[in-house]
Amino acid sequence: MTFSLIPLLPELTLLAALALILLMSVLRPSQDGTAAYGITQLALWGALLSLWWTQDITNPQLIGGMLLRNALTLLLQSAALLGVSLTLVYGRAALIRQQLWQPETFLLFLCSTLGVLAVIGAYHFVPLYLGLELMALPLYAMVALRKDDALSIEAGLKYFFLGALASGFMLYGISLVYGATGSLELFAVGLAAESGSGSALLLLGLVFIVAGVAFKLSAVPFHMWAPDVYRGAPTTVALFVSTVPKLAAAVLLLRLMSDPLVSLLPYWQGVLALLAVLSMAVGAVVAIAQSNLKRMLAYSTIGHMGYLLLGALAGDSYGFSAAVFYILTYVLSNLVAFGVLLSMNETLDDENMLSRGSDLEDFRGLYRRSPIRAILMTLAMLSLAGVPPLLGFYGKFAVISAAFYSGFVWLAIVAIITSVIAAFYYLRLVRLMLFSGPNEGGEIALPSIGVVPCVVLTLNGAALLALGVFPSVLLDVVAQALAWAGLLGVF
Amino acid sequence: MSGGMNVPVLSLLIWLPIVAGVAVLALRHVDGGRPSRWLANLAAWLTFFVAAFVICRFQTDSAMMQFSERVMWIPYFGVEYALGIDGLSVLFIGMNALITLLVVISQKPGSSGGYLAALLMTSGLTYGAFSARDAVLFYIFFEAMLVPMYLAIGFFGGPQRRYATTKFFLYTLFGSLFMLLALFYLYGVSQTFSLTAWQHLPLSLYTQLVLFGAFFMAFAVKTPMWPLHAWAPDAYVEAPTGAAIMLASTKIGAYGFLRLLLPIVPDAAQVLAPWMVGLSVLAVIYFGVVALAQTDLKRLIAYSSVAHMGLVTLGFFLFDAVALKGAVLLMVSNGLAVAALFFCADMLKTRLGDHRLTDCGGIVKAMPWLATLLVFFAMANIALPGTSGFVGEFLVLLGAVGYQLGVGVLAATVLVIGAAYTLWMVRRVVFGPVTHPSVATLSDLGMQERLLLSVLAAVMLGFGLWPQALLAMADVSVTQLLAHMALSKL
Repeated sequence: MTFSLIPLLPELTLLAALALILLMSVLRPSQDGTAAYGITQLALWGALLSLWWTQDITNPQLIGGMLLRNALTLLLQSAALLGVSLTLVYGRAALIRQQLWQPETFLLFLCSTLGVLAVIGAYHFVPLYLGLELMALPLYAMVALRKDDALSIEAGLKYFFLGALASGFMLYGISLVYGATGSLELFAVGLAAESGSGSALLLLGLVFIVAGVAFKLSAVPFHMWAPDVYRGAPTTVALFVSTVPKLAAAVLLLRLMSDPLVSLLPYWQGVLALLAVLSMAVGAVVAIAQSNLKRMLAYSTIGHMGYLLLGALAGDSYGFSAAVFYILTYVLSNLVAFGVLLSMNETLDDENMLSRGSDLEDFRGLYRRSPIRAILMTLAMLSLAGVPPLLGFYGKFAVISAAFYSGFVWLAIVAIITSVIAAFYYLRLVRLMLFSGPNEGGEIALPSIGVVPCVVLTLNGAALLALGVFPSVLLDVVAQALAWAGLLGVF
Repeated sequence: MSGGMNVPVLSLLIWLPIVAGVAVLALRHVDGGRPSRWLANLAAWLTFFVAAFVICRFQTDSAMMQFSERVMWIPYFGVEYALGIDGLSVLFIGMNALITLLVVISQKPGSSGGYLAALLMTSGLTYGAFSARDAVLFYIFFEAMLVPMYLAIGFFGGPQRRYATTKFFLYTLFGSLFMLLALFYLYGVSQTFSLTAWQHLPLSLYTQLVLFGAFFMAFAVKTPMWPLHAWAPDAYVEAPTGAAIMLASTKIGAYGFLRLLLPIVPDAAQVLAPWMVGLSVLAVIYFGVVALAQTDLKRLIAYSSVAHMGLVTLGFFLFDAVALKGAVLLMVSNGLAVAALFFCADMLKTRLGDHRLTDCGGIVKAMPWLATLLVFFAMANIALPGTSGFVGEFLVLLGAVGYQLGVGVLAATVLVIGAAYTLWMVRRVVFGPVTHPSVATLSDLGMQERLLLSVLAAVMLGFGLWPQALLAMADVSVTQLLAHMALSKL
């Protein structure tokens, strides 16, 4: 079997950058992360450009059908690369402050990004699993990067153990599917599912795979790790965890549910509906009790994954495009929220080895001290809450209508009730920032945001509003990508 | 359609204040805020003239949508940017224009640019809600209005502002999200979000009842109707005066009944009419009695406004031409009266420091102008013949008596209770002994304040003596709405 390496140029670019950074840190062990940061950004943008340069959506299968590169993967891989790039722009100052400005940090980011690209493209269980592991293993280390922070270590361990369990589930599921169908190709598995051979075993395998995916999505009841990881991880890493791997997990879910396994849709729907309801409810209710913004955002993510599942379980192209649109709106909004959080000064408390600067109380009266931060955070919160005319509203509109039209009216009602509950805690932060007086327990220092992050963050925040007035710009891209991908029979 | 017009006036009406609001926000710290205030005044005047132009060019003999604009906005959802006004919308566009103008130009030189921006944006979004012909567009304007209002109350409101503004936001959000489900359903059966198309959509009674529930949640919260009113008194009282007036006077919730609920689910409205009549009468009596117990002038006005909204919703559900016209008139006149009374309360407050009734008293001696105008507005609020309130209340009560004598009698208690709390308020604030030492030293209204209140008084008197001016605008549309409601969609 012969294949060209040209279509793999984006992955190869990242790989080359990875090797380069590794080599550099071996040759000059004491250097800081500046060079590595530059290489990483260049590689990300290089990968993005080569992705578009080498794209050929009429010929979507790479490496003999192991990987896909169609309009949908193109869109989501671009979003992932862009997301990582923005994450590093926003996180730059925080990484320096937390003494994580080292080549290793970027090595791990690149490695995980490579895994994300692989998962988004995977059309075979082997690259799929390898991609997931490539994505997850660096993450465990990234979460525990702050060796002097007890919470960081704890979070890393917790994430690793639970993640290993989820990987085990996944692998076991894959092996059962292989046993039932004799194939690891998604398409062949789909054919076997349709003909009904070995269906009990196949279903059992799929249940395990769903559990694995739900873990990556942090959908309830596989969400336990998320709050601790968000809280303990360096905030830059928390931003990464909350956005880029979610893109991969979302597309993985959609791919498993779409064409190949569409014949098992009724089985999927029940399971996903349960996950969706639990995630939306837990995400909305438990977030109210949080006093730390990072933990609150973790529950917010859990809730958002519930909404994402609404679109996915609709099981038709409208639902799938709603889900893809939803994850993009979520990522864009979350980037702003974390971007502001990253611009705050998180410090390590010497006595308790706990970091502070991310408590809700630290945001009290922020508007008076730094209007730009408060305004951007308000935009992010309103968008996450789904208030028109911000982008998040259209995401909620899309997924709730998708659930509604596919007959899950009760799910739509639950989604609406939970979104009002969730609005309460998003608004609470807005209220603290805008309407409250100064924090009497002592205010944290506010470093300057820096020119580049400030400009990029402002553009990102403005995009939430601009795309809210012209949502078709993004919606049409998503719909078109799905239409093209669907035309060729594979998502 | 208005004769060969190509200028998108309605879009101008919506976006002029919004864009100006953004500019005001951006300029609010420049040169002590003078340019931003200047710009806000300019925008308010310009919008007022555009609205005046719309009203002048509006053809009262047509029930068609006029000044139509239609562009596909979100093709993926099938949402159109479709605007157009009929005889019902045009009244409220006029009122919004007048209220916005008065609120913006009455701001004192020291007021914040951010506040003016919020008022302008709210105003623009209100125009949008009144002229939207696409259900999702309506929904977005209806909801988006929450954001500037939330910020205006939260930033510039009274001592309890944080609590009041959160309650306001969550109540309204909760109510309107159910409407969103109703919109999804209607799109599912009709493949369009056009409000006009939905008016002719056949729906089973069961479906209509469910949809009624969803619409009712949204509009009953916003109107507000008993028992979904809990946000309103807090928000009205805590809001800064301008925002309170925008909130209480624009009547967007009641408009929702007219534009969506009644024409789309008329059969359910017929079936549930007795309940709605009951709720409305209950609101009239309950809020009237509650108003009696108030010791805060602003709170009293708020409850009085909510009590009158009970009369408005009563007029909606009597299915009677006279009552419906009366309800529409009452919406306008109550909007004007509430605005005027809130202005008076604010003028008192800036002099006295608060508006507790117990602290005023005897202001007639120190402030004859304010006392006179306050008495006039208070009388207009309880429908003194010759003021705009009289015609509306009279027509609604006429309809109520025709519907059932008992309902008429109960609803008419609004006159008695209203007279009671109003006269009591007037006695305590305007006349009576001077209880507060500073009252004697108060200065009367300035020229600008006199002018402001006089304009409102003139408008109320004008409509009271010549209600035909308002009725003629709405007549054809109200008649058509009634004819439509009488047709079963089953």
